[in-house]
Amino acid sequence: MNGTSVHVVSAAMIPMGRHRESSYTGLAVPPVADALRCSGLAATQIESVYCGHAFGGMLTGQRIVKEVGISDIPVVNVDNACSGGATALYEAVHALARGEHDTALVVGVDKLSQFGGGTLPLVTEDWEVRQGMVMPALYAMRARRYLHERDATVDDLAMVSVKARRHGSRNPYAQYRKEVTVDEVLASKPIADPLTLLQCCPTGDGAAALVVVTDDVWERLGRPASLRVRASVLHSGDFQAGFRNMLRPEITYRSAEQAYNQAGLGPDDLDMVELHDAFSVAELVYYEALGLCKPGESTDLLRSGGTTYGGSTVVNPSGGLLAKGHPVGASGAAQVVEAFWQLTGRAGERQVPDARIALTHVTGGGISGLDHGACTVHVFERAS
Amino acid sequence: MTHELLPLRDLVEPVVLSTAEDGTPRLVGSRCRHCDARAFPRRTVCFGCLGSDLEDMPLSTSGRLYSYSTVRVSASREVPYTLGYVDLPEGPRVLAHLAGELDGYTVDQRVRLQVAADGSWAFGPDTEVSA
Repeated sequence: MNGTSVHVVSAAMIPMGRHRESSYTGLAVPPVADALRCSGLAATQIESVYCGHAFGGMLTGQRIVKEVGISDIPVVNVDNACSGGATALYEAVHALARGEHDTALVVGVDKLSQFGGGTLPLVTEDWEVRQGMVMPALYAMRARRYLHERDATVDDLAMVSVKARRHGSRNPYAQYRKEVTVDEVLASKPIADPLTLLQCCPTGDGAAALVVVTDDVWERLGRPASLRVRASVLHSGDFQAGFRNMLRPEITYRSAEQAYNQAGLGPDDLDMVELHDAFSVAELVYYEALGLCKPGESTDLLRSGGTTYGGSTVVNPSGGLLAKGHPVGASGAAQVVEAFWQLTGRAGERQVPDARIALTHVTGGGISGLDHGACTVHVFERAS
Repeated sequence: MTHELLPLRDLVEPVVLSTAEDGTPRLVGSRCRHCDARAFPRRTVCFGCLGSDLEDMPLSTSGRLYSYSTVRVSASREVPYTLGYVDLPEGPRVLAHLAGELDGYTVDQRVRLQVAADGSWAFGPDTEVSA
């Protein structure tokens, strides 16, 4: 990364779930207040706010921070579909690295229970959405292609959910904390063939908050245990009107490559990854895109146990989007909360032993001609 | 002198079908005369060069089914229905409804355009070619 180095000095979130009695403000104020309290900074020392959300409506960030004594400073609201929270962090990190501010509050929040359930409402101005495209169908077509091209079966897809639920069962912040079997996953309600309900992230509500500061402020705070940001990358994807290889999502390949270059690190250096497992097949495809294995070897990597505890890189120790939940604009920030807890040794019974380097990855969107409309990748290193 | 900029009228449902000389209906996309970029459905501005010199491009009625899924939960319409990505030889990939048996398809099979009397269109199994 160019410019001054940037730290995440505190991180907080609420358990994900259906919080029907809470507004966007009600969801976000508790983690914002907790992150502020743990940062060692007063609310009046926050110089900028970046709030990621997809469905919060006008001035979501202002509706939140006015409740915690933050006023007058710039508040920027960021929509980037599922990448909203991570894009808010990206904006904060680069503003601090450029020297525009010394401190920032990052919020990711969304409330999907307002839609009652079912598939995410997409933008009907889009041609493919008007033809009936929904997010599960997009990933289901990717899954069908994966089963066709790879030496894999639906059991392998189901194993992704089994692993996610096993990790999530040890995370008190996860929406789903019950372990499941391959048979239970495959017997659950069909959503978009070959994907079943337990291979799809739940709809729910959540909020996460991060306090981000420059190196100088981190020194002044007494060098608390923190995440040093080694890479912060955002891509929007390459428009194609014709053929697209759905097993080679170029937006994630490019984002990962740039992130590793920025960090001066590679996939072998990662102790943990939080990646965008919105649907079971996505985790397998992203093993390859993030370089955790060679293209074509993701099924073997999952089967080998290399991406769970005891393996080379624990993927989605939080339970990921499949178990922890996926309130879209909150997820990118919530992934960083998990990285913060893991790298500062506060992850309890799901602690990845001696985790030092983490990568977070979140994509966003379903619109015609793009693999996804956004992809954010961050790499963090433990600092203390 | 300035010229007036007008918005694209892209919410008007595009004409997607045309009739070939032999009377068979076909999907129609756009081809840019300047940079050859091709797209479906028709466009008024080229995504490749921003030019507006686009011509209608009738598309083959037979293509290859890249992948497909029967949707059983949807926010946007009655279920179930089957969607697929059909790659046409002229270049465009078309998101299409697949007709007939929900599970009667395989990846990479040939599919052919079917147009109903009411003008609705879908792709179905292509029985005319075995390749």
